[in-house]
Amino acid sequence: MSDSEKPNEPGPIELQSTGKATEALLRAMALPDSRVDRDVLMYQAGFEAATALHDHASESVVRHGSGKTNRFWPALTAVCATTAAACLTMLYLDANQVQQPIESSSAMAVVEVIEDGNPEEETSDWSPVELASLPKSSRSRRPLETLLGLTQDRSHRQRISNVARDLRARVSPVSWNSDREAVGKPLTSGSVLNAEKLIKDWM
Amino acid sequence: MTSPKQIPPTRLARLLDQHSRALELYASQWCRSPEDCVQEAFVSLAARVPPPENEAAWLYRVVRNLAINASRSAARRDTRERAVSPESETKFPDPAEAAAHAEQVQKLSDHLDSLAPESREVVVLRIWSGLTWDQIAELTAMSSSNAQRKYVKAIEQLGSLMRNNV
Repeated sequence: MSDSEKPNEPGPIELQSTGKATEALLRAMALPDSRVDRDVLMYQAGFEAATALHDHASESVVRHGSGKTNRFWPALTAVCATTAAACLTMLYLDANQVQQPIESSSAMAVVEVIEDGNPEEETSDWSPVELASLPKSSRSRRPLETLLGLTQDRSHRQRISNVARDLRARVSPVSWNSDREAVGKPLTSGSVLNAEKLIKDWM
Repeated sequence: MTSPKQIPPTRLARLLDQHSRALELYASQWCRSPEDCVQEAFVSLAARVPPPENEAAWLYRVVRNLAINASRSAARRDTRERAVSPESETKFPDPAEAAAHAEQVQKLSDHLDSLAPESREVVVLRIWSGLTWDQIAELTAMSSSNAQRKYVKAIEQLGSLMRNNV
């Protein structure tokens, strides 16, 4: 569209003289008066313009946000989500954590059996047990408040004591009789000791 | 209360004064209530964000679409009403103002009615709208040269008709 072209300038195809006279005659004819109510139209146009402006402003507020309020809640949501994700990760890692000092293969837990009764019956199926071979359910689990850092974690010695208490019925010192059969024997002292040293002392 | 992106009221009023009569004549080619189409077009122009670059061309295009839609609706309504009561007569109000207006319109449309619809549209747009040939071509969906050929032919036809009447 050429904006430079003036509306009433003749185009490439020009009229003849009679045509120009007719054209001038038509231009001179008065158009009938408009039946549009000017005041009503201007009022309605102003009303529609204000409504459109309000709608436009509402759309822009929805699209771009309106200051502090719309930035605060997304930021708070992001912080809460990050914190929740971090807590869940900590819980998952601590639940799967292996207690390395106790599960060392060089150390064997030997627990004194204090229960009364026939020692031979009680120790007939006793045998040394590696802690690492025990099922996970028998290991002590840290309480939730400790994992979340709300209470202080127990000491290493306390944890060893707890494990020893769990294993009391299973682990015992071992001796061999003349037929080379392993025989369990209750100890008189000590709670967690080296198995080889205990056996030497006992024999 | 207008946004900087909306057309100012003074500009709207000036467009109304300049083009309302020509727009009504233009819309009357298709529908029986051209003033409604013109009013709706101006209201749409006021609410438009941002306003069109060439308001006059935009107004003629909108009025044309509204008038064609109105004529289709009126045709459907007439068909439906005729089917319901075939013998009913359409009643028109007959005030003196409407009669004078109708006489004025009749005088002009007597000349224009002899033209083919496409030629009549080109003549009205060219003589009374002030649009350029390119804008007329875009509005009527024909090439600029074709629109000019139709215009020249229509003017010659009108000239011979007016000479015969005189």
